[in-house]
Amino acid sequence: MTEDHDRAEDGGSGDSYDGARNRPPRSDGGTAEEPAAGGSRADGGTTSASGTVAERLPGAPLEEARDALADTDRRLLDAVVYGLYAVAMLFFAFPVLWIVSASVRPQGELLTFPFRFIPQEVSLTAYQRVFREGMVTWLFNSTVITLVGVGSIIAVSVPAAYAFSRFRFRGRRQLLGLVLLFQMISSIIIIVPLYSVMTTLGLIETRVGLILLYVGIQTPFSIWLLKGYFDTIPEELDYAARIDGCNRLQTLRHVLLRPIAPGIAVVAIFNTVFLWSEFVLAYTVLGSERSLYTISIGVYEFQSQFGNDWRAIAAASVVGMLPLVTVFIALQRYFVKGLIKGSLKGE
Amino acid sequence: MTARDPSNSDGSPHLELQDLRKEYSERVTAVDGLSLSLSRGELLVMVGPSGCGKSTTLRCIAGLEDPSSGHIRIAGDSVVDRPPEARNIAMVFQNYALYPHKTARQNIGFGLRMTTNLPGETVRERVEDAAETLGITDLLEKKPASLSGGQQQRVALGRAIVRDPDVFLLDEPLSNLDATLRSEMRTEIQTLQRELNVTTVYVTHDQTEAMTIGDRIAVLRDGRLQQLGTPMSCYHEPANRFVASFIGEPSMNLLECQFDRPNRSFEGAVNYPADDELATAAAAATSPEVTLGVRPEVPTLFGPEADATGPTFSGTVDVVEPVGERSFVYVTLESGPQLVVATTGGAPVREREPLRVAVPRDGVHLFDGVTGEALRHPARDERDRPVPSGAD
Repeated sequence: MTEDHDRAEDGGSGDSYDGARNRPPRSDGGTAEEPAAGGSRADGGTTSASGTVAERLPGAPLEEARDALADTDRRLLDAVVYGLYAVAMLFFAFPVLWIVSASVRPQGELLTFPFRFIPQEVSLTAYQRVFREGMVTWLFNSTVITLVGVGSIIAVSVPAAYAFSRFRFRGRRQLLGLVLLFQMISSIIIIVPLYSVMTTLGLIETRVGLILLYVGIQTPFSIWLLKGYFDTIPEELDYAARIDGCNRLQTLRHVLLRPIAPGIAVVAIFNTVFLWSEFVLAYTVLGSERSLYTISIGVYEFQSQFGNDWRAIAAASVVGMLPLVTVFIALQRYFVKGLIKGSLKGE
Repeated sequence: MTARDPSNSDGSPHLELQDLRKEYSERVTAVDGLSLSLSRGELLVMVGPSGCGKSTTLRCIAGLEDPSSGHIRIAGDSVVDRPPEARNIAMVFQNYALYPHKTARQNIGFGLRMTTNLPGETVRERVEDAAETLGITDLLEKKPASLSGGQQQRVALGRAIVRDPDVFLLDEPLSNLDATLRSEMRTEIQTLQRELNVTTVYVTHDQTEAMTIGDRIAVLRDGRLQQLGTPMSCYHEPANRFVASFIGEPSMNLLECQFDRPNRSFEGAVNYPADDELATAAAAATSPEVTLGVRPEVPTLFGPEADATGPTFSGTVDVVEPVGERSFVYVTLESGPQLVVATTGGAPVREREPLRVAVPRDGVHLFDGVTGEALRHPARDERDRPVPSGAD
């Protein structure tokens, strides 16, 4: 701006410059500062000077009004956006909070009229019952199955994804398509044949059987996700590792595993959530062997044909939720980062 | 730069490629019968447009790809069946390929740890020696992400030199750097290579880089070797039309003509009367189709009335590209083709002005119009002559 003024005051070849200055619509904030320049111009062509003045006099209040309006608009927009956030938050948080609320109510106070979200009286009897009925066993079973299951899924899908990303073998694309196809088959649909196969193999009512099933079902998705991560890592890194004396497995272990760690974290969290809360397969495989029940079957225990102990169901759900929430909070940094990265760069 | 004598001290080649072929499928042949030999300590630049097979060749030497046929020998031993780490080569990649989670120290030392049983203390010493050579001692504890492009490049070089390799393989090592850093690193690589006296194959698509850095350059196209020689011999005596147009910036003016034997003149893009030498050379072509090649510094520009030596053509200036002490003038001749002419920076040439271009006969290259092979080169000063070598 200052530079321009200097040029104008130098006079002489200012014609085209004046012409530009006279263009009527000026919406940028700089207009308000200009009268000084216009006024101080000694040689100034009359048309251009009067033009600028006429343009500016009513301009200032108008702009203020416009600014004020824009300010109000912005605030209104903010309010609407935050309002929508609040509604969404409430929508997702209500069931969880309701369950927490229900779990600490005394017996008989579950559904009151008028509706009360925060209970008048806090009672932990529901939690006592839940732990009496075997919550510790369920937690233990779920933990074992989830840890071993997720570990196995990662152990299978990392090398598989590495191979799909790096090796150029015959039928690679077809095999990848096949893996995707398996992902599309709902396990519920094949649950009856699965049951008979597992019975034949003697895997029914065993933790190993359930873990194998989980690995089989969850691996395809995990392979695809991890392959996306491997694809983002330049192949030169593999070459460099090979020149440095690594074989394929060492390349994977020493060089590639760390760069794809966010991907592994995503696979781990996703599968942990799934395995921890899975019900249908667990109930089918573990059947009537109560000592093997997982937390999700445990919750179901409090539901019977004679009546549902909603307080106990709520309490069991809260206890079952806690480990997951903890894990998620601990790893959410990777989770969000990993999800974004995978979705942007994955194949 | 002066060319070093490629015929090495003990006489035997240090790195030798013999009839190397790499086919990806029946239709795709990346490297087609390439034979090269490098003496110990020589720096050979492989240059060519993208897809010419230069990187594939490098990966074959490194052992990252198996050649379909042919031999690769390092210090006389065939290495085709050896894994990369057993070939005693080191490679620097275009994107450096540093391990992102390892510090510079770990990056440099990783190869030693994986391939040798050296005690930790020795590895440490060697890493620090390499770092000192490259001036990156204070960067050793940093991870690649916190290093600049030039520093990453140095770490990558450190990773290569720490293993004291027989052969250095550099795959476009400067392409990711900005112009200033590029020329700095170019000199540094040259100095390093000389100090260590390591046989080096350097791949680039940049002909200027090739000209300035190499003892010899190998020009590749479609997997085939077009010419192998010193930068100056490739520039002054290009083996064919491709090398002529690829080496040199701006590239050689190529004018398609037919040789009219009875009239002893070239007709076509320009009408150019031949002298005895040109006529004899043109007579050796497989057909009357020939290409005249003129380096930009050969023609001279004249005002409409001045006298000139050699055949002269009228034309109009399209563009003047001043690059400092020289300017490149793009002149469209009346007969159609555009010529690039190098003039002194202060030459009074303006765009859209008519002028005359004199093209002296003793500066004209002649190529076979069908095969593209060179038929005749202008005579050169003796001092520019390539060092005689069996490989040329």
